[in-house]
Amino acid sequence: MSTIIDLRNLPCPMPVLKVKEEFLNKPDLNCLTVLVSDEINVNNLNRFAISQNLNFQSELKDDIYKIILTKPDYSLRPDDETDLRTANKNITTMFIDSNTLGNGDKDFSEHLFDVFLQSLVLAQVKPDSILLINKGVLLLANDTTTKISLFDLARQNTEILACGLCLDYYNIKDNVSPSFITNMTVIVDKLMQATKVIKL
Amino acid sequence: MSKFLNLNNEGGCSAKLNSGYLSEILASLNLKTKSNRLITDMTYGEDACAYQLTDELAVINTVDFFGPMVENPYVFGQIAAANALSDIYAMGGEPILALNLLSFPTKEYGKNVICDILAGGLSIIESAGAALGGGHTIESPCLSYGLSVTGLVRPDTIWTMTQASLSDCLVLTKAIGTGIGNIAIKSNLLTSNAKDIIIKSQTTLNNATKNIAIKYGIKAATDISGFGLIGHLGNLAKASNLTLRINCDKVDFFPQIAELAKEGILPGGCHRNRKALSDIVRFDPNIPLFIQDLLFDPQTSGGLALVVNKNLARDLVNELRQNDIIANEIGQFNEFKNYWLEVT
Repeated sequence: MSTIIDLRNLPCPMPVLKVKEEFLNKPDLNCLTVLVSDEINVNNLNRFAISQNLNFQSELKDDIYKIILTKPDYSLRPDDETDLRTANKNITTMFIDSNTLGNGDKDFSEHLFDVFLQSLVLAQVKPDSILLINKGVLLLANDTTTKISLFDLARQNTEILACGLCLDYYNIKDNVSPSFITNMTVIVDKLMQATKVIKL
Repeated sequence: MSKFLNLNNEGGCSAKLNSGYLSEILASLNLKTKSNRLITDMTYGEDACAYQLTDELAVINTVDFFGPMVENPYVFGQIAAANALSDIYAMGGEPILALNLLSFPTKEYGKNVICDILAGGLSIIESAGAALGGGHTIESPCLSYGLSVTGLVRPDTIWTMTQASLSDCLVLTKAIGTGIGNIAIKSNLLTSNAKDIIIKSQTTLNNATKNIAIKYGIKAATDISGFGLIGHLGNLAKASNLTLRINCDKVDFFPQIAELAKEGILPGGCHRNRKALSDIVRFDPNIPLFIQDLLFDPQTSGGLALVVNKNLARDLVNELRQNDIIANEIGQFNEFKNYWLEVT
């Protein structure tokens, strides 16, 4: 598992404390990329790496220090998240907790969602993730046009994540591809890491 | 964390300008008037300046101020005052008069915060037996407090940086680690016991140390502050043209500080000191990085480094310890060889 965290503009000793917390909370974390804005924190993270027996690499690019911390015996893979662009990007997350758009007439509100998702498929800017929770997971039910739109969005690199507990409750889990199923921890992480959340 | 402590600013002596940068600035000053009554000047980074009035009397002046490193304004006032007064003791003098210096953001804090800071400062000034004669305040977005202090000393007993002799020993008082300790306090990383010990050390005056040391014929001394142990001892060795060999096992560190240093909980001043001072010191290759970092840690209201005749060092340490002062003989002066400091 690899991840990237942006700790720029945090004064010392906050970056070390955040990195320590990251490794403590994620025992399977093999590679952590950290962005910091000054040399003091690079030096402090170097000490942290020595104390935890982690490999340490750093580079300075466009006034941003990128530090890659890896566990011993772990070699970086091409799909490891170490790319600066990932961290610099604004992350837009859409949070959907209903299969109706708004609180009007039920059939009309379901139809509205259908129209909304079709428009989203055609929109120039798309969300990075769509989180489906509670009745929102019904948008993935078989034989719905909303499912088709969500699949279209997934093909265009929008991450579609539905709450597994909710899929179970509404009894449609078997019909949903496992790559779309997630848990509440991931949903919370996605919401907290987003730079913009749109709740429908 | 309270609003009083701004995590973005380094409080205490960690905020000091890097010593190399400062040397360049001072070298650019074109001093046209040089008084022959000045016993010490800026050449060797003395703790304070001493000006001879008569054959038997010199006046010592010093000034010191910085931002808060603890959340309690009264305690901050105490630490800032103890730190400013320390420079007088480091010259073997006795403080007689202090003036307050305060820059304060009145939009950020209430009047009670100013009252508490000044009351803390006053408590220390009075316990030093000095008088508070006034002060100066300005409105500023940055909170800083400190003192300008005047002291007196006999010119023939003044302690300067230049008078260490071959084979003299170096006795250090107080433990090291307030720079790391203060950022750890801001982030709540210390046990309350460790926090109390570190704060207590910073509010403790060096007057008792001075009063004991004066009986041992000290000629050279300094106090340990923002440039860290390496920076201040380096100045002492350089001014005396000798190499000081330090045994780092003899240096006392505050509780929890070594563990924090190992994990990279270090103030910016520690790295700035290393960068500016690395060419004056040679570390034995077996000394781990975190111990080196501790020796560069900027100190606030640190102890005194007393240069004492080698035959008197043990007695001085014993008498200081009998008076509940942390004291250790940590090094000895040798003929100059390549580096001003050698740490083994």
